[in-house]
Amino acid sequence: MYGLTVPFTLSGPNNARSPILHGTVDTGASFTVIPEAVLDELGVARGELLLFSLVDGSLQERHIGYALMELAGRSETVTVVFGSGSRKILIGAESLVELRLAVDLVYERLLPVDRIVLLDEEDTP
Amino acid sequence: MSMTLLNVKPDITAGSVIGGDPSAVFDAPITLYSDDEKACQTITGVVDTRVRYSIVPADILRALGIAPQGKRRCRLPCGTLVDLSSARPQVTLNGKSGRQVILFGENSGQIVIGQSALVGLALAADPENKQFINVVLHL
Repeated sequence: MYGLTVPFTLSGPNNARSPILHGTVDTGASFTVIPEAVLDELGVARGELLLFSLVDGSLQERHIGYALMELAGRSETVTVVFGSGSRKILIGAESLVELRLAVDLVYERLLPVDRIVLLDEEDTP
Repeated sequence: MSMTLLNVKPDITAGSVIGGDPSAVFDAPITLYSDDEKACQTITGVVDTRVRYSIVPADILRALGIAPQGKRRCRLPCGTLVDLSSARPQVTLNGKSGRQVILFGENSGQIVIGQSALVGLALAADPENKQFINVVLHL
């Protein structure tokens, strides 16, 4: 399995900013997963409790919240999942979409995408 | 497991349409909150998962106290590219709440509830029964 790990930072509602974090890009993950201790430190509020399916097939309820992510020179508010203490940091699909970044596994980098489409792929050129 | 997560359908993808017809649409209420979350307004929009982001007329958003936070380049059905203002206010949809991307549409234009709001709140659309279904997200 190919992997791409990239540095990024998060900021909470009071502009508290994390140190540089490193996360594995995982487009199979719906949202970015951050250890809850990091999000608590930033003051990110726990929001809706959602049910997630993990890679081992088990189901787990986790809170989501919102934080400003700075990644690959772009910044945007993204959904973050409060992960358990030992949980690896994952950068999920929603964050990439919001930051308009595509994954280039050949050169192991994130590429900026200039265009956001309003309609689905059926209608894109 | 919490009571709110009962009846979750684990085999349905968030943001998808039950029945497989992506063009099927139905009306649903969505509540928008002002930036300070002291005011809210419930409006009815068309659930259309072919549309990426939800669209609400700019006059409704501004009157409620939701200010633009950025711009997003969008392609309209006619092929035209436009830069629309966007915000990420608190919304409630089908009893679930969260901050979702909303685009500032034309004044008095159509209200559309797009795919990203459904994904963000772990919902799928069931147009035949005109309802949402709670689904599981993946980590």
